[in-house]
Amino acid sequence: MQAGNKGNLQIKKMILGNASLTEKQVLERTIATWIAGLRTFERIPFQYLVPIEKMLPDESIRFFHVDRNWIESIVDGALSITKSSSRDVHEDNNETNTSDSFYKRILQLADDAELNKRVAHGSKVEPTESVAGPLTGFLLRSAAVAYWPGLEVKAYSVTASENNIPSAKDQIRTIRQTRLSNSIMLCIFNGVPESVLISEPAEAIRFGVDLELENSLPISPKTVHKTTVRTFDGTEVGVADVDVFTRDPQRLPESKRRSVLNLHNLYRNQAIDYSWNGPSNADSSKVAINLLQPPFVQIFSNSGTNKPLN
Amino acid sequence: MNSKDGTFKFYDRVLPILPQGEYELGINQDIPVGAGSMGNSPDSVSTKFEFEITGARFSLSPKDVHAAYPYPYNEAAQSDKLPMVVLGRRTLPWERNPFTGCDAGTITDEEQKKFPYLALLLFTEDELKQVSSDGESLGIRTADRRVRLVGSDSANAIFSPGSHPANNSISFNDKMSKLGLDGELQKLDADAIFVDALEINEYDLFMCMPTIPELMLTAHAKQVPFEDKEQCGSDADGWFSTIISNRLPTEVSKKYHACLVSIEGRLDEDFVPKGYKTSSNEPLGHSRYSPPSQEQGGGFEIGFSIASAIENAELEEDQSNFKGKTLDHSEQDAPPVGAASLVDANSKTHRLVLLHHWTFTTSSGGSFQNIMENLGVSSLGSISEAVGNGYLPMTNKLRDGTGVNALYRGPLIPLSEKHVRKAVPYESVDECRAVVQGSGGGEELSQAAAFELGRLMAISDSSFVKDVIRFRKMTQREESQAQVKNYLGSKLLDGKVNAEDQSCSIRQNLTMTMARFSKESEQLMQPKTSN
Repeated sequence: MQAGNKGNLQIKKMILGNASLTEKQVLERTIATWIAGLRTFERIPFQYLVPIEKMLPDESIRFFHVDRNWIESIVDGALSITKSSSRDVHEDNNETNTSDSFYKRILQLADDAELNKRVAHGSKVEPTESVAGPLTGFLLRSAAVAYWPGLEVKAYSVTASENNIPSAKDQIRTIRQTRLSNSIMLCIFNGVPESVLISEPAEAIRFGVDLELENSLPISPKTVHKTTVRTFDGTEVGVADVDVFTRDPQRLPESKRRSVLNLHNLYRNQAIDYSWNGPSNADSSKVAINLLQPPFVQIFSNSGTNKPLN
Repeated sequence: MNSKDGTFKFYDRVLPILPQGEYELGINQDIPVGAGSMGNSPDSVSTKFEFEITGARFSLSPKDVHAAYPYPYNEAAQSDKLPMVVLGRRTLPWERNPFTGCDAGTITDEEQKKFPYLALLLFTEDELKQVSSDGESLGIRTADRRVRLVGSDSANAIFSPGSHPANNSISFNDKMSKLGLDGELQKLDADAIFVDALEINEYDLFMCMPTIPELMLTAHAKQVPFEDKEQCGSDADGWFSTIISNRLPTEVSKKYHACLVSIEGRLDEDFVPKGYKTSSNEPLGHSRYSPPSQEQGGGFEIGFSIASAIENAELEEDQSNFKGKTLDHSEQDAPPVGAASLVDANSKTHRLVLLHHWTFTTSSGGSFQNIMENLGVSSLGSISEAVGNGYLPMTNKLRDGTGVNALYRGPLIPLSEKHVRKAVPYESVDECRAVVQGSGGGEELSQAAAFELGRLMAISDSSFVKDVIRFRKMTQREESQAQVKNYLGSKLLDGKVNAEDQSCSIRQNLTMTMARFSKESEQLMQPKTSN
């Protein structure tokens, strides 16, 4: 048994990356990590989080607070396996120990681990509570999670709008962002955000138009999409849209129309020329910049009050 | 030119310093008369060195393709985004002159260099399907269906005398010579150049092909900061060239083929529209259908300088006459479904050199924007069945098979609640059960369920079990040790030994104590010197 323990210990030291730790320190860290993970719902079966299907229907997003009472109970349950005699019970219940009792020690470690994790994510340390601040988050069940695996989530402590994306200093960090299944995503934030932004993965630049699915000009033969006008340095010019014509003759069936763009017309568009402010002989770069499509950002705002219940 | 996504720059084009072709390098060295010479005149030696700059002409190495969008085999491509291909080499699209072998009208040599020789065409799978006597096949001819670059069988060659426009001002042989393909026609299959090809009917190709001025607009270069690994990937220098398609994949749930083709030497053919009609959006066909004007020397209808092409491609005369049907809007025929049926049975198909090809399917669920804007938003647990702050009535099945009412709530709640840490932990699961007061009665089992779950999760992780039990024993042992030391310390008469000195083991402690004690007791036991 002794030899087995020693081998196990060596492996753990390797995993923690520090060979000079005592056995006690190794154990402390391993256990603290396990419990801190439990507190962020690692490995918890989904039915415990969402007992009824109706709570998280398809194509929905549900925001929540984290109930620390529940978390405390699950940690109590995990640590209860060590209670093998009344001595253990007495020890845990006894507050007047001179040294740290097992229970207090473990919780202290887990708190520290969690606090470190949260401070690393920007939380302020509040001395009155053992761990800093509330935790919130959301569950998202949608095709977007399946088809756009690189979804980016950012939470901010201030309100946001399309034209006003908050800066990094107002960001509330995401402690955990994970896919629980193909189409369900769980996110936990280090605080109560005022706005949550979910955006397409910011991968390479994309070109495209705002698709007009209906032909809005029934009389004109031209089919029209829209694009945002940009100046030479990429900034959008107000909300100016220009028409992007297509060239498909009206005789084609519905499904084949609106597909081939008239780029030449776009190039010569006067609104684009007027706002360009760049080299006057630019051609393909001008067309490219005016067809730029930044990743779409969906903003969720905190509309209600958050008074805590007793 | 910046963009919201990060700083990168767009360029109209990056022209190669030396275009592709054969070169001869001559080196000449003069040897001046040296000190030890006999008065001879200076000498010189020279040599010639021939080399050829080649590039992607009839095939493109996959490693030159940095990225393709929409991603190959993507099942949820968006209909509002233009397909594009990003090439790792910034000069690639402009390394060859697409007007080679064509009569470029009034487009000067300098201006010709600005045109890319690549085009990205997009077709649905239906448009590529061909029905022939051998059955149905797809117009992507690769592997064993490759075609000859130059051949006499026009159905299986890119260039062939049979498909050369009859009224072209340049003869077929001249064209082959200008393209550097002399003698290809006569070669046997075993020696000939074979290429991958895109085979498509003339009508669809004509409708989708960018006009000549638009060709210039579809290719650009970009420079990305090379530390930006997200954009750069494995590219070394952060310079790329991009060809965008001019066609959107607007049909939903449809499979599309994106084809990067070479149009070198093809710009005088029928399927390349030269511009747009004045009053409408219709592309303008080739002058094949009307006699070329003598003054302009054929090839293109009206003097076609870049300046006039870009500034004013609306040609004054409406000379489009595609297959005898005028492409105007007074046409009353009901459109038949599918492009294939718009074309006559003996319609022409064309083959283009295919350099890169991939497929994708458009999504049925709409764009990302569509999906996100239509999400149902609410807080978790605020459904009609819930009572209080997210408690759900459920049935607790007892061991005897009956069920009782119970409430359960997970850790994710709609409204926040205060939390005060308990002084004393739960000892067993029964301690965690609560009773619901009021209507229905029953128990509230959230904490109990959590406790039991924690217990089961801990038990199932055997290394955690070992660790935590060992840790408890360790802390207990330390505590016992501390107690014994304190006790010993408090019992000593002189209190010199520090019981809290943890670095001293109990045995050492006792030994020192006993040693001192025995010294003292020895002294005490010494017989008094008596007088």
